[in-house]
Amino acid sequence: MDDNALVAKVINGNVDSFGILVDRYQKIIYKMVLRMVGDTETAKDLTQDIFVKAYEKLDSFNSKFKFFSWIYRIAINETITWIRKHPHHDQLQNLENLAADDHYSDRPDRNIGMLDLGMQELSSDYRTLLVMKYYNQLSYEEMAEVHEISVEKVRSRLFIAREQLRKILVKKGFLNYE
Amino acid sequence: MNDKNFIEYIYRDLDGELTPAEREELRQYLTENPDAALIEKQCKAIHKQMSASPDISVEPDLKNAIMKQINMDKFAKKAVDSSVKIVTSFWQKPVFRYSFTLAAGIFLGVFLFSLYRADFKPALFDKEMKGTLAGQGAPADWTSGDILNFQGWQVKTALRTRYSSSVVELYLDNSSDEMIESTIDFNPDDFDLLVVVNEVVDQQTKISTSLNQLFIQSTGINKIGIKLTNKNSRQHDISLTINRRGSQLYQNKVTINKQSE
Repeated sequence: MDDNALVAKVINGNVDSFGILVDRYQKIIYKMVLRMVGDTETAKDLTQDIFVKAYEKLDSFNSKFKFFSWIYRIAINETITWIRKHPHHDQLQNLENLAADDHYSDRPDRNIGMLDLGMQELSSDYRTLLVMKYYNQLSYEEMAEVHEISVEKVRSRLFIAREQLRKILVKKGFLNYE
Repeated sequence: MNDKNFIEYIYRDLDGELTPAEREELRQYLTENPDAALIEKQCKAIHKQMSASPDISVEPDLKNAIMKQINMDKFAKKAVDSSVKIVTSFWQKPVFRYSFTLAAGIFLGVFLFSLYRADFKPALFDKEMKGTLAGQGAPADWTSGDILNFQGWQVKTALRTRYSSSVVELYLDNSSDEMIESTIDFNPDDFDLLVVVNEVVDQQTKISTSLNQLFIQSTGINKIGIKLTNKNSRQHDISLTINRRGSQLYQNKVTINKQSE
């Protein structure tokens, strides 16, 4: 059953259908939040808040659009709001914890990656785009729908985000191939 | 391709979006520009590392935690309230609100007008009686008598009188929306009921007479003429009582003065 049909069922009183939507999207949203905030506990709490908020606002969802884009947009907004409200959140410490986390057991070095450090210096908007592109592997079209902008604009912003990251990493000496 | 847009080509190449011709053009440019080739190396390194990001598993209790927090009744209640919400949303739009109020006003007006099917025009009777009842010739000594007027909620009554030394004439004009009882009492020593003329009477109106009384149950518009013989031509009273549903609405009397022969 497609997402919008499940939303209609939830609005008609079938709460279990919302559980199916949670199953479908909890992982991609949790991954995005985790990469943005850097610690698993906060990511877990925020993911819960995002789904609860989406449920509360479900009757305002316009079925002409994709449910995934809608809930992902809520997730981004909630996450950025959280980051802005917690300016002293120790993300570097959290990144160390993240690197040591069992979730990253496949990671060969289990150290803070140069990317994570560079990403922290980007604005949350650009960081979000890179997370969407690389960690959530969204297409340009999906990113455009989430941000409600054109694909061309996504390309242009992503270009800036990647270039800013590259320059940060060069400056930090992480990309010295000479 | 130039030194301004070659980076864009590099990223498009990493995303697999370059055509074979564009790719060849990029390769050629990088061969000829070592600085550009270095940037391409950097871009490739970032792209490779980010694309190789390990998968993250979600804790199995996350879904349960979410489902525990949501308000299960929210949409169950909404389904019940949906019809109320539709009405409310319509009511919030001025065009519907004003239209509804106007329609309700018209309906109420028509309803009230239908209640006033009886004649309740404000002009009461203040003119003396003219002519004669039952086609009899007018006596020479006609005198205009008292006029009684009563107007209450959905009821209007007027009683006009005139008299001579030999006869007394009463003209009762009743309009009412409900059934009312009008009683005209007189002393049989002074008067005899001679004739009752139903000029206008409702189908439901009933008139009964006795030696000392005329009793009229009426609704709607009724115009009734009553003629009594004036037996002794002295001063005496004729009373009028109006009742509705057992309650007295009105009582008064007309005085027939002594009439010299």
